[in-house]
Amino acid sequence: MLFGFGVDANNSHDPAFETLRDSLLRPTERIGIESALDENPLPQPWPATLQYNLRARIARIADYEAAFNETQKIQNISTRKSRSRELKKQYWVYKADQIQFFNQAIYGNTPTRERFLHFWLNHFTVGTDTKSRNLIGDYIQNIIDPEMSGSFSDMLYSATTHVAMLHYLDNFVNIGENSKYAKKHSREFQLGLNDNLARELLELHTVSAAKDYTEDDIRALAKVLAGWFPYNLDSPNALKDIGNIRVPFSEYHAEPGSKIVLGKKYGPGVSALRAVTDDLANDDLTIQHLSSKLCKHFLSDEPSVKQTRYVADVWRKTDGNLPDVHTAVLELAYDTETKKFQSPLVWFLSMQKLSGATLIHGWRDSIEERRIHSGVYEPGKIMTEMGYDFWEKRQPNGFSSLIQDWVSSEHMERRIRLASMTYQFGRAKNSVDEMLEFLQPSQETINLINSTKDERARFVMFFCSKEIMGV
Amino acid sequence: MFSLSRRTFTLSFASSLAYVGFPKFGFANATNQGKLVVIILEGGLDGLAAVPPIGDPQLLEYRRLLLPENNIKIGSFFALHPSFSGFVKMLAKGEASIIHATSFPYTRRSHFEGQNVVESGSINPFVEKTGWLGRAMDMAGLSGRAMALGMPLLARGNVKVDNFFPANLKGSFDPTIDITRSLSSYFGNAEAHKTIKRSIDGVERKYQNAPKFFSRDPAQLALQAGKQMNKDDGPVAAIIRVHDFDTHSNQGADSGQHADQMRVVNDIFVNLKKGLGPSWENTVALTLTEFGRTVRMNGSSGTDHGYGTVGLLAGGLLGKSSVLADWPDMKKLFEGRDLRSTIDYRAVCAACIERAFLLDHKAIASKVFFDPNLKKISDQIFV
Amino acid sequence: MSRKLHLIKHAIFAIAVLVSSQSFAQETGSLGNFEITIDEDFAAEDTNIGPAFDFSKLSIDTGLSLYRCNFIIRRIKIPEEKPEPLASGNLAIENGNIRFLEHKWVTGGLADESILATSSNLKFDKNGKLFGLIPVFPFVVSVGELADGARYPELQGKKTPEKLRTPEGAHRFNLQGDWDGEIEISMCKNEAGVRAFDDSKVRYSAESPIADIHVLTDVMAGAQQDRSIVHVQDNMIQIISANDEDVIRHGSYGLKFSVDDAQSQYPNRGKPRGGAYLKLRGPYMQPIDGKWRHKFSIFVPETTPYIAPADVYLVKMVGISGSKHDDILNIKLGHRDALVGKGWKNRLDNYLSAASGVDKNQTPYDINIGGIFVQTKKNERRYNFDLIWPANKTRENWLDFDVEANWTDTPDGYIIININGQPVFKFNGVTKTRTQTIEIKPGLSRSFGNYLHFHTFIGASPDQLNCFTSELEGFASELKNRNPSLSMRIINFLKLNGVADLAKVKAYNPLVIRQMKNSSCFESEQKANLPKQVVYIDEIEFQKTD
Repeated sequence: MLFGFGVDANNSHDPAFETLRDSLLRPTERIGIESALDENPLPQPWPATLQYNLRARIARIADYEAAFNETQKIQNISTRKSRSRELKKQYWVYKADQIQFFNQAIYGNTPTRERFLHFWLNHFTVGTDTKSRNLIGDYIQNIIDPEMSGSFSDMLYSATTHVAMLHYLDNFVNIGENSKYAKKHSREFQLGLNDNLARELLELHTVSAAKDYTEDDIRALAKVLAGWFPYNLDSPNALKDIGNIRVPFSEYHAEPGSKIVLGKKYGPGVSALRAVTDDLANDDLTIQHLSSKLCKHFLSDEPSVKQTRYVADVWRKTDGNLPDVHTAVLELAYDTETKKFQSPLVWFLSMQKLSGATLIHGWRDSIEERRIHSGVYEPGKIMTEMGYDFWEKRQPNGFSSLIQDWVSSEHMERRIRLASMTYQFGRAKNSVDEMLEFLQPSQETINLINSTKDERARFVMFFCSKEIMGV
Repeated sequence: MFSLSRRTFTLSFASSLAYVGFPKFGFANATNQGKLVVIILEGGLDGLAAVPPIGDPQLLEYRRLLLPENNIKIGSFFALHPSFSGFVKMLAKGEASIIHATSFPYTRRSHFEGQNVVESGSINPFVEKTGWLGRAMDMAGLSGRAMALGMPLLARGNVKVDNFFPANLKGSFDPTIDITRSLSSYFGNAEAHKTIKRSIDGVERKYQNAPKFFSRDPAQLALQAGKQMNKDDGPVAAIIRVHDFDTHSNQGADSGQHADQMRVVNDIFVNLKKGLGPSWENTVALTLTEFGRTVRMNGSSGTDHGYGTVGLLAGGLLGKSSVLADWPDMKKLFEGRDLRSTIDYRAVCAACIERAFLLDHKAIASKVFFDPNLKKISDQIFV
Repeated sequence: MSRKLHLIKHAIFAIAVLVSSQSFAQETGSLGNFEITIDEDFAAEDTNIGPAFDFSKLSIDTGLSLYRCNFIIRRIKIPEEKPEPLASGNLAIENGNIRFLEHKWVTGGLADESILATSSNLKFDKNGKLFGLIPVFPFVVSVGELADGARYPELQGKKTPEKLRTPEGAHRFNLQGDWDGEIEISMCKNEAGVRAFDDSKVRYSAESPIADIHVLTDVMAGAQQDRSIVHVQDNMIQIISANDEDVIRHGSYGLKFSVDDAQSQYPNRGKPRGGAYLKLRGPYMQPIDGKWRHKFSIFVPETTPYIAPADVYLVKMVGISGSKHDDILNIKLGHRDALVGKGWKNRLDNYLSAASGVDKNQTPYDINIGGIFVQTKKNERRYNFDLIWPANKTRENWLDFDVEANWTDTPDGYIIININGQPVFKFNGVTKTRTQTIEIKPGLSRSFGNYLHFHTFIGASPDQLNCFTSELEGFASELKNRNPSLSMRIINFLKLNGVADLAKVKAYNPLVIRQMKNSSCFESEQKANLPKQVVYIDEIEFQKTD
């Protein structure tokens, strides 16, 4: 079974299990290429100038709003337009994040780790509106990626308290009803709890609906969460320094007093949330929920009880140490004969890697705004078209792992189109014959591909084969 | 802020989909066949904002700030949100209806379970793998085509359904028949690859009976779907989906996020009528949402997941306008927070299927909704 | 069943009816039918078509009514200021309101001819400024791309020329993001068909020297986007001002078209084609009272040789129906069929000259060869050629073409061509088919037709000729059973003439042509080196009737 995004056809077909496992242990260096149009694009460290810290990212959102309002005063229409275009380039950094995300998967040397990263990024979904797009890159690089080397409870806490999550699930308006802030301002606005994050924290991120929790539990958890990042992203005054704060918690907006969540009492203050998330992380229903979800994502739409149990056992034994949990999934993947349908994103990335194509922007291509007629493509557009865009507004339950959600005539058409585009514009380094030699697919697949001499058709059919799609 | 107009708003945020079915060739009742449009409002429509019961004194007590000032009065008890300026005309002309204090019988307030319930038509979430419309069309012997990237759950359950949702990949090439035919025979007839093979066959059929050009804006989509449905051999059913009804914060009253989304719904009704032309007389369109929203406003000027909500129906097939409700006492809220549901919305869906596809209620109740005790209310809704 | 419910102000349609008790979900109760009372203000159908716009603060010119104006809607990329036409046609102005008449969108996609009529809301104020809302389909839909709905930009009275107080001019609006748009209104007429406003003062004023050339302005603004200029590589079409090398007819700017060997395309083996020309269509091809006027001045420099076996067109008038292009009338520089009388040998010499550069001192000035010809269709396969301007007056002179036409599928059609005021050509009869639209292509386009189809034989090596010979012989023997007579003819021809005279073989049979086209012997072909040709075109007056 292919893992990661497949492998570079020039490398070994069956990377040693140890190599894959090792890659799970530590965060990887961010890798990318300068331009996909170079003859032999050299993977190199992602430029520091394109790495923004959280503070810079948030400040850009507020600054953009302010600068944009200024441009509206410009009388000359074309000056105004070109100015606002410059502003977009200057302040919206998410396109660079998207390119890095794709580059890392294609040119990075730890594709297996990346696949687990995609899993967790999807599990802790922070689908976005325009305002918080800037934050997702930071969420990936500073929360999901590093926390994958630690325990689930750490990741749960970090993800829950990241600004991207707090903003996405409306916690910025979740304010304690008895907080000092509410008492002072209650005459001006109606202030109070918002239970969105609390609800999804229970239902989606941890114990799932299998746990018998009540609306009171959700409310209590919302009270615990009240005061976490109570700022609107485009209010410049509240935000200038927020990126420096390790823990974005405001006592002033928090609900005082202790709360009872799922029968357990938690004290007031900033530490209560960590106590709750630790308890939730260690709840056996969380372990079962996530073990099953991991197996469904990586092994089969209907994993066996044995497989799920194996992952859950490792989880319990190691207290949710993610490298160990991931290793367990990998062991099962090496062991299993069942097929797992490849999601559009994994499929697309595999195609780029296996064929050695360079269809996707390097960082300079984006800066210079190169488009398809130069032979490069923006990754954001491709994600959108595949219905698998981590930067798009989406529901908190993330993308499905199941085949029925990704097979339809249109999904198949997208694959045929994307494969023919990759062939036509992508400067693939490996011929279909070379890839066949390398992959050694079934005779049936070889016959299919050899049924025509048209190289583009051969390329398309190769990537629509059972082996590559995972059916 | 951007001067974001409603149109750009819906273009940039609300993706949508429609499902269009085609009558089987030689279908016996083809001439009497009604047309059905389901408008899915994802996130939970606030029934008390859409159709506020202004005659109920409790309403003001609960949600003063969420009530629009410019409500359109439609009687002594109910009013319509000002967004529904087109819908109200249909109501006046005798071709729209409102069912209030209604919901699918699902009370756990999870979007994901709720959406699964209203599309699958089962009371228990994640049990059924097919959707009620798919099953109903299967029963009526209709084949169809979904206008969506993936196959909506609502339409699953009918093997003759494939989908249509044009790519937006500039510079890409239309797939050639050589490729699709080779792949189709490669995947063969094995049970395991049935869906894939069918999808690949669908790629080849893609441009048959479908509009050549296509927008993803829901109101435009409604117009296109309507035009297609108006053709003699046109589709008999459509699904249009609108996102973003989940307004936990800053819901707004006269204007605002929820008002914008309701205006999209209004435009969908208006454009459907425009596109359908004469076929409007034979059509019923209904909204479908996973639940209502809390009666009280939450701390962030929004509302949280609730229970009872409102259903909006329009189309000439109704034959009359009516506002139907068994209005619950709002002093006694469901679990102390939500409007109670006194009408099972499945019965409304069943009534629409019954009249549009000319099926027997008993068969619908037991085979589409798996509930033989589902009440028949088609006589109240339709003439 | 009658569903007509008549609306009486504040009337009650339906009285509450209680129906039998039903039990649903958690509750038991009765399904009540509530009364419906709707204020007429809400229930009434909109009388005011189009979207709402607040005109209350403006002084609308309610006295302004015009029978018919031309309009073009364009989008303009910011900051490059490149305009691209989106729609064009006619409109009427009634009491200060715009009412759209027949028009076309070029965007494809969802563009719908009814939308301007039903969903626009535009009024002129007393200064000739335009306000209101206009639906615009901003994007041209191409393969693989998603169609987009209409935008509703607002017009706020921004206009060029700003001082012009008539409704004519370009009314500008912000379309979306980096795109602006404009609706240009021109040629307004009253019911008698007379121009309502004399725009010559605006168009031909000293301060805007280039505004007098409509097409040129568009070219300068980058009309490539609309494919108004085609086959442009490098500097094949240049905007020039007068200098030592270049000439202009009038004003400050002109256009230079040049095609040389490097720019000639070889889309199919053995058939070189090159072209630098404008495509005037859509907005440029609006009739006035059922008549068309097309005016252009052409300058052929002495240095532009006539390449004898080539078709060199200065102006092509093409009927387009779907993807089918049909030459209706072409104005040619030189005519190779004039050589026919000189015998095959001579023509072969001309081929050779095409391959090596032509003797410009002789052929171009031969009255029968290098002059201006009109090519019209005789029947499906043959053309008529008429010499309309002698070769010795063709070069180094400005030729002012004035074409008046009635493009129609009825017999009252005509095409009249004047050069420098002299009538030189007249055609009466059907000028197009019902489905065709006419496109005019001034510039320089050249192709090497059937005669030079196998031009590479001229420069073919002996090996290559042998290759062709043996291939044709093989083909002939293949044909022996299927088509013995053709087989025989090929063999005899090869014996008599040899393969180098293959242009004659081509005339034999399509089967032979196909065989030769696909020949592998072409792989070692040598391209003919074609000389450079240049023409200047200026003062292309669009629809100038006076």
